Amino acid sequence: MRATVWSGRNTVQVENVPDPQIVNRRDAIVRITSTAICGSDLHLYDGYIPTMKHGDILGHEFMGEVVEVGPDTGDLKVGDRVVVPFPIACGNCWSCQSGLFSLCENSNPNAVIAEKAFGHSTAGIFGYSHLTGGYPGGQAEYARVPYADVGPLKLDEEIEDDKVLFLSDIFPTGYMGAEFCGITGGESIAVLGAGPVGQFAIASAVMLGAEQVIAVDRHDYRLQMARNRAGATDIVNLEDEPELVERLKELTGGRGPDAVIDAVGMEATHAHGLLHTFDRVKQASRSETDRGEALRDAILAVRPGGVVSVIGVYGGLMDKFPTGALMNKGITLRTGQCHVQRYLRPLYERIRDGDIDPSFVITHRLGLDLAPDAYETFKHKLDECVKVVLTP
Amino acid sequence: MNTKVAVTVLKPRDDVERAWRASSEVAGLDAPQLRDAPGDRGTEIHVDGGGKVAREKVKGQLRRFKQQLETGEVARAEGSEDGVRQSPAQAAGAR
Repeated sequence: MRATVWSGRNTVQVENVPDPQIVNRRDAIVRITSTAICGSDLHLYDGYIPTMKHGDILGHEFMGEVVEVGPDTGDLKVGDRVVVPFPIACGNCWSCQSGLFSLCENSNPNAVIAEKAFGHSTAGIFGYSHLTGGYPGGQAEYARVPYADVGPLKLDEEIEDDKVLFLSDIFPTGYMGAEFCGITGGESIAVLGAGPVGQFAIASAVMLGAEQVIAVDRHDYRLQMARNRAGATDIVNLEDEPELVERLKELTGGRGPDAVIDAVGMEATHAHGLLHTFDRVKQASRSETDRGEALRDAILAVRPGGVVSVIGVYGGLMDKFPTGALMNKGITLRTGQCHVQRYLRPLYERIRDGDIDPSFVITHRLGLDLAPDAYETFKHKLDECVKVVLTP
Repeated sequence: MNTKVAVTVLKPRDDVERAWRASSEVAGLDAPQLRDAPGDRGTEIHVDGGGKVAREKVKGQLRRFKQQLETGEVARAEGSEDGVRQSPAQAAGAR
């Protein structure tokens, strides 16, 4: 089959590789009809996530048709159309039973590596380094899906791929980020980063009843999408307004947002003078993996007693973490890779009922063979790129 | 230095005891100390991990024992037979 493989920093290639096979009894093989490049794939592309190996198949946002099943895949049958959640979760362990699917205790065969980095292992993830299991990903023609009786969402109704593909990751991820904020109605929420996850965090905060939703980014075309499509009430372009904390306070009557969602993660590019230079040097020399501007600003901007919700991906360590503000302001910090399995059904129903059409983020569609171009376009935000869908 | 290692399995103690005796994953390990985990979280298994090198091996054995008991299978990222050695995230049969 054809598959997108990692070939070192800033290099992906589409190569012929052997087809995946059923390995365990609960596995299924899915023929992929649509797959996407995630912002977090850029952290792999840029070489900031450790434990990548040449030839690793990328991709964790995909959907398709079941073409083969193991003997213990429950109701799943050949011919079923499915969306596959990016975290691989067994459904049996205490974490899965508690709805914490991205913290599955059993799905990471490389738990020993993860334990060294994080103290504990978390769930396996498709196409996302050996730290999270070394599972082949879904930017390919076929993928092996473990625990296929638990993860995949079966689509029983006619609905196009574009509307449901993002249930695999970015829509539930943005939604969980908004859910972390404890919105009950009337809140002011700031969302740092108006990439695809940020767009869904904004749309979700609006759906959950926030009164004011402020989108922050450096790119005007993304901010326009945030306002016109996702429903942001205010936009802040960091190129024009570099004093973000002051601006967010002013926009919220001096209070600060009730919650700030960090949908940026480890490769923040918000220029911030000396501290930014410090981060760039540390990260370039690989002595700090995580540039922390977004998270620092979130902690400084949020109102005392507010929530900082971290759904942007971090991978290792950052310096100059504002512990004083975190502690003294009484901030609640909520974090995590999304427990996608928990949100699949309810968010699918919202799509089906017309509350939201997630396809609004798609700006580019390419054949799988053009994945190398797609990575470059997405990384450098060429041609007003927000989200790329690849068709095998 | 404490050389004990532990894992919690979301199964009743009787099931764990029975599975331990039958399991090939943990063959060769001493009999474990079993305790009920607090809050209905199953059974804690405590075993002697030996030295530092041995401890990683024992932890791996416990992890696969837990996987087998909780999920019915050992997690594999590709077709490795022993579930220990992991290779690049390529399609099964790539090598």
